Amino acid sequence: MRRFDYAAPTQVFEACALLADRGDEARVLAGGTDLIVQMRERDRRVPLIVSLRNLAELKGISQNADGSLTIGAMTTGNEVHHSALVQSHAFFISEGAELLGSIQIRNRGTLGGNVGNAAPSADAAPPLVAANATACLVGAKGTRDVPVGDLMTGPGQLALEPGELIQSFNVPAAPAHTGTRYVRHVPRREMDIAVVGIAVQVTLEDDLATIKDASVVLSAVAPTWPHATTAEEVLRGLPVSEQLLAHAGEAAANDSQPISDVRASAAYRRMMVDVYTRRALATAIERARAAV
Amino acid sequence: MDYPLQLTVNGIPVKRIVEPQVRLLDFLREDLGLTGAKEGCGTGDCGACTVLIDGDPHHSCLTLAVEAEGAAVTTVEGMVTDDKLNEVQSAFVTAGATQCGICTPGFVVMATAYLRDNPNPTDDELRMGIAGNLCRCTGYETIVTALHSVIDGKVERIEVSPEPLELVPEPEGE
Ligand SMILES: Cc1cc2nc3c(=O)[nH]c(=O)nc-3n(C[C@H](O)[C@H](O)[C@H](O)COP(=O)(O)OP(=O)(O)OC[C@H]3O[C@@H](n4cnc5c(N)ncnc54)[C@H](O)[C@@H]3O)c2cc1C
Ligand code: FES
Ligand code: FES
Repeated sequence: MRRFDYAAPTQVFEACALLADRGDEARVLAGGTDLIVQMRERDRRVPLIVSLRNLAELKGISQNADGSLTIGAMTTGNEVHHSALVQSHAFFISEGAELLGSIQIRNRGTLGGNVGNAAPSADAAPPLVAANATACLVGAKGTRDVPVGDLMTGPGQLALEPGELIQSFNVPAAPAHTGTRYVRHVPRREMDIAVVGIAVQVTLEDDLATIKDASVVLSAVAPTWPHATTAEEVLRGLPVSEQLLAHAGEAAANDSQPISDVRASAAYRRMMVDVYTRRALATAIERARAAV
Repeated sequence: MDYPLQLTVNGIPVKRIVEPQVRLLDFLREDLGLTGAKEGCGTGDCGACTVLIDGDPHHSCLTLAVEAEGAAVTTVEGMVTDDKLNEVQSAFVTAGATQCGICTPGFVVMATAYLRDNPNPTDDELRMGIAGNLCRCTGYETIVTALHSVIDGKVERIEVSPEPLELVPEPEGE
C-alpha cells in the first residue's frame, strides 16, 4: 500500500474539519473492508485517512421517543445482525447485514461503510432504503437528514458535501401489520456478491388480507438502489393473491435496469428480479401476518 | 509521519512506532516475528490472516496496525496455554486436519472463537461459521471432523515443549 497520513480524531467536528480542509485528498476509514482492498488492489492514492474508530457518536443502536431507531454509522455488520432492537424494528436490516461477507468481515465492516461504498450490489443498504430510513449527515455547518434512497447518486457516488460524513441512520417505526424481507440471489451461499437483491417492506390492512403499502427496493440490477415504483403501485390497495405477487414480480423486473457482467446476463438478472420479488413479498406478507 | 502504537499481543504489552500504511498482519509477522497469521489473498477472502481483536475474529490483512491501538490481539501462537495446545489445535493434530498448513492458523483462530460463542452448532451452522476460511488443499472434511470432535468434548489437549513466546525485541534507539 502507498504511504498516507492518518488521523483518528475523538471529536466529530475535528473529523469534519480535517475532511473539509483536505477535500479530495482525504478519505474516511470505517472497517476498511472495502477501502483497504481498493487502496491495495486498485493502487488507489489516498493522502490522508481519517479513521472514525474513536467517534462515540457514530456507534451503537438506540430507540427514540417517537419509536424510530437510530443506528450509528460505525455499527458493525455483526452488531446490526444480532441486535434484538433491529430485529424487532425492521427484521430485514438484520437480514441484510448478516449477508456481509463472513463473520470476520462482519466484525469489521460497518453499516455506514456499506452505504458509503455505494456499490449497486450492497446488501445492507437496500433495506434501509425500503424502510424509508434517513441518514444523519454531519459537517462543518451542523447536521442534516437525507433519505438513504437519495444519498447514492451512482456507483461509488454519494451526495455528500465536502467535509460531510454519515453519523447515523434513523429508521422510522413501521405501522402495525408490517413485515419485511431482504433476499439475494448468489451462486454461492456465503462470500459472494449479489446477482440480484430484493428488499421489501409490506404493510397490511387490519383484515391482514389487503396490501396497504409496499416498498420494493432493488440491489445489483441498477446503478443505485432504486424503488421498483411500478411494482409498488401494482401492490397498493389490492388483496393478496398469487396472481398479484406475480404481477408485482413482473413489474419489478421491468423496473430494473440490469447490466450483463461476469456474474450474470441482464436477461437472467431480470428474470431473477421477478422470481425473488415474488418470494420476498410472500415472506414479508407472512411476517406481517405473524407480527399482528 | 510515524505513529506510536500500544497494544497487547498474546497478553504481552507491546509499544512500537509504526507507519500508518502497515497492516496488522505485517506488523505481527515482520515487526514482532509472529508468523502464525498468514497472507493468503490480502483481500478478506481467505481468512488465513485471522486473529482475535478484543476476542473477536478479524482479518489482520484488512486492519491497519494503527487501528489496533489499545486492543488485545491474540494470534494462533497465543492459543497455547499451560504448555498445551488448545482444544481446536489439538483436534487438528489428532484428526490430521492439515495438509500444506497455510490455512491452518486462520481456521484454528476462527474456529476457537466460533466454538466459544456457539458451543453446540449444527453441522450446517458450523460450516457457515467457518465459511470465511478457505483451504486451497480442500481439506474441509477433516477440518469439520476435527471441529466435531471438539463439539463432542472428545479432545484431549496435547502437551508441547515449554517454549516461552518471545517477540522480536524493540529496535534500538526508539
Ligand atoms: C471478502 C469480502 C466479502 C464481502 N461481502 C459483501 C457482501 O456480501 N455484501 C456486501 O454488501 N458487501 C460485501 N463486502 C463489502 C464490505 O464488506 C461492505 O460494503 C462493508 O459494509 C463496508 O464497510 P466498512 O466499514 O468496511 O467500510 P470502509 O471500507 O471503511 O469504507 C467504505 C467506503 O465508505 C466510506 N465511508 C465509510 N464510513 C463512512 C461514513 N460514516 N460516512 C461517509 N463515508 C463513509 C469510506 O470512505 C469508503 O469510501 C465484502 C467485502 C469483502 C472484503
Ligand atoms: S489474507 Fe486476509 S483474508 Fe486472505
Ligand atoms: S491445508 Fe493447504 S490450504 Fe488448507
